[in-house]
Amino acid sequence: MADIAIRDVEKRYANGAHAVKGVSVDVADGELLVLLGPSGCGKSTLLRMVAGLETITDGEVAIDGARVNDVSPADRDIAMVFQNYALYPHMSVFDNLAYGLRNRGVTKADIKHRVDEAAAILGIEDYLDRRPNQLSGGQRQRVAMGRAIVREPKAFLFDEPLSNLDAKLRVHMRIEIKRLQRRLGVTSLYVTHDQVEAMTLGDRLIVLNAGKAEQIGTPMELYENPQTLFVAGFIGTPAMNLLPGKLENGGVTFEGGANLQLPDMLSGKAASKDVVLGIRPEHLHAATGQAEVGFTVTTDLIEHLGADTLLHGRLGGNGGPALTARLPGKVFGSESDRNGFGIVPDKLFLFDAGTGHRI
Amino acid sequence: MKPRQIIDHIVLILGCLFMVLPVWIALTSSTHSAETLFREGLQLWFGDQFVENYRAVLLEQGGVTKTSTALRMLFNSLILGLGFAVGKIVISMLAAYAIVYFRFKMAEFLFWIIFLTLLLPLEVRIVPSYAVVAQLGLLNTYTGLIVPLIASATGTFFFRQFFKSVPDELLEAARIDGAGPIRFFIDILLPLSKTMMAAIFIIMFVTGWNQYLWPLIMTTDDSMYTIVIGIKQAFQVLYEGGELPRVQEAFALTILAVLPPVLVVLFFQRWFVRGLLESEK
Ligand SMILES: Nc1ncnc2c1ncn2[C@@H]1O[C@H](COP(=O)(O)OP(=O)(O)OP(=O)(O)O)[C@@H](O)[C@H]1O
Ligand SMILES: [Mg+2]
Repeated sequence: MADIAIRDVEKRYANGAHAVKGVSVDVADGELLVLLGPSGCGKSTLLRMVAGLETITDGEVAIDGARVNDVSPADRDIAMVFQNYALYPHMSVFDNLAYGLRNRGVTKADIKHRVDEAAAILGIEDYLDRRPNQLSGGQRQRVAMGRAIVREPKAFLFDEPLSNLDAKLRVHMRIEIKRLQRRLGVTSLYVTHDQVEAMTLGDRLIVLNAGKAEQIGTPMELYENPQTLFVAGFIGTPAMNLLPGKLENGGVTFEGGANLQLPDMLSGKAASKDVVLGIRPEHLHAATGQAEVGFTVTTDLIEHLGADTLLHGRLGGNGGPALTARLPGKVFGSESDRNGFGIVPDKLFLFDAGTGHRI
Repeated sequence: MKPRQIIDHIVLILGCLFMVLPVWIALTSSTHSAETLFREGLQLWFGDQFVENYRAVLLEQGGVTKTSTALRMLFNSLILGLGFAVGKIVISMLAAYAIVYFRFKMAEFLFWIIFLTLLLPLEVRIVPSYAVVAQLGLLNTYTGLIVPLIASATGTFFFRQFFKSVPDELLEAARIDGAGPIRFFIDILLPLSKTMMAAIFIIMFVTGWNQYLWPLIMTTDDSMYTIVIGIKQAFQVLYEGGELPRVQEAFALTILAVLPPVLVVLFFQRWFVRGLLESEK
């Protein structure tokens, strides 16, 4: 077991693509760090540099305190789980698990013992003689995990390991991975573009955007305290309402003319400029009028989700910015009955529209 | 629908008969005596000379071809066919492995150069090849017969396409599992290529077996003749001299020449099809 240090790591591909632009993050011993970001942001590239599958253009990766930039993947003592599992199709499940051990000269008896142990942990004992193409998606996923854990490596690297599974199985395997990682206590890097997966799995998250780290923190830190517009929009479902407007005279004027008076704590902070006001749908609630910022919204659609209800509408009537509210439980009445909302002031986020940074 | 199917089948059956009939006639006629064939023409059903005719062809020195025994020629052809096919598979797999998995300058360019040689059949370079082989003192040797033929643009092309279709993650997983280039080739790529190898083996064995011009030029010693040369010899001998043409033995020789490629195709085809079914997915 070990910690991983990533320092000012850069990646430029041969074709000139600048995929990773100076990312630094430390993964503590036993921690699961999730790399989260949209497609093409450089998550896989960063992970593959840690694995040794891509060269590091600049910066440094250290595993267990030792710089590994020039160490081959086999000698980094890491194990990787691939999106398409990359199981050896012509080998039995047993051989798939044993292959890495054989190459490392582990004795036959020891291999048998370790494979059996890993198979028992993952519940794949019954399939050891089968070929990968005789397994279901979920079983293959387990075999891929098994191949990682038999090695007892210093770190696990996961590249979207669940994205080929159906939604239900994904939730199930997500929980299993989390349990397994806790139980084995192996330092892990986990790539995903699914923010729910990231929130539930990660001890900490690093949100990447176009090759840069936007923010690093625990899931709740990122949810409660997004530092940039990008993080605010990326974390949380349904996504945070991001309402562009103009900050002046202690209030924000939105497209369509609606004006919202901000609480002092926000309005005092900046001179007049273009801003984006962020409000999470779940922080809006039916207006009570006390110690709140009030919203007038023309609701035009109600979606019943069962546990919650989503209300879609426009702030300040037609022409205003679109807004979604998420109210707990069942909402009675029709769209026209729902137009007053309130929010506690400290749940409002104000971002600079130019830089994208929190004000 | 129904009448249409009947017509389709009639056409197919006629086609099959058209293809199979000459072989059938050769097979049945090869079991009659020379006298019968001379008097009554080609035969459509088996005679009683099967053992005699085939024994004569296989074992009698200077029989119908006036040269080697058919056994010797079959053996030579087998060496040529196997050496040709195996050599081509080994060389083209290694070439394709280098082209696909190792990043070196102009890999793509070199591949296209190899590919271009597809346009140049053996006949084009047969004179210089002969000169080289002659100077190396390799005339009338198996080495001389096989080695100049085993570079294969076709094989390289097919293996390259196949290797490119193998997911990169497999290589990456193997690298993380501690497999170097040689281990990866032997443990992963080779087993995955089985189907491909079987297919290329079929094609190349038959091509090698049927080589005519090169062995004809290369070999001056009777004991190095291949069966294909033997057939040509047999037909040359057939109508010279005063004796009764030994048509039955010429037919027997032909049947013997056809048999091994047929067996190879039958055997490897099963393997080939099974490989396809297994690697599906
Ligand atoms: N081998 C390569 N050569 C050149 N550019 C590449 C290469 N691999 C990736 N890139 C580029 O680098 C950028 C980051 O790619 P990367 O695969 O890391 O994205 P990702 O965040 O993993 O995306 P996804 O969620 O779709 O997997 C992309 O713009 C991509 O086009
Ligand atoms: Mg990726």
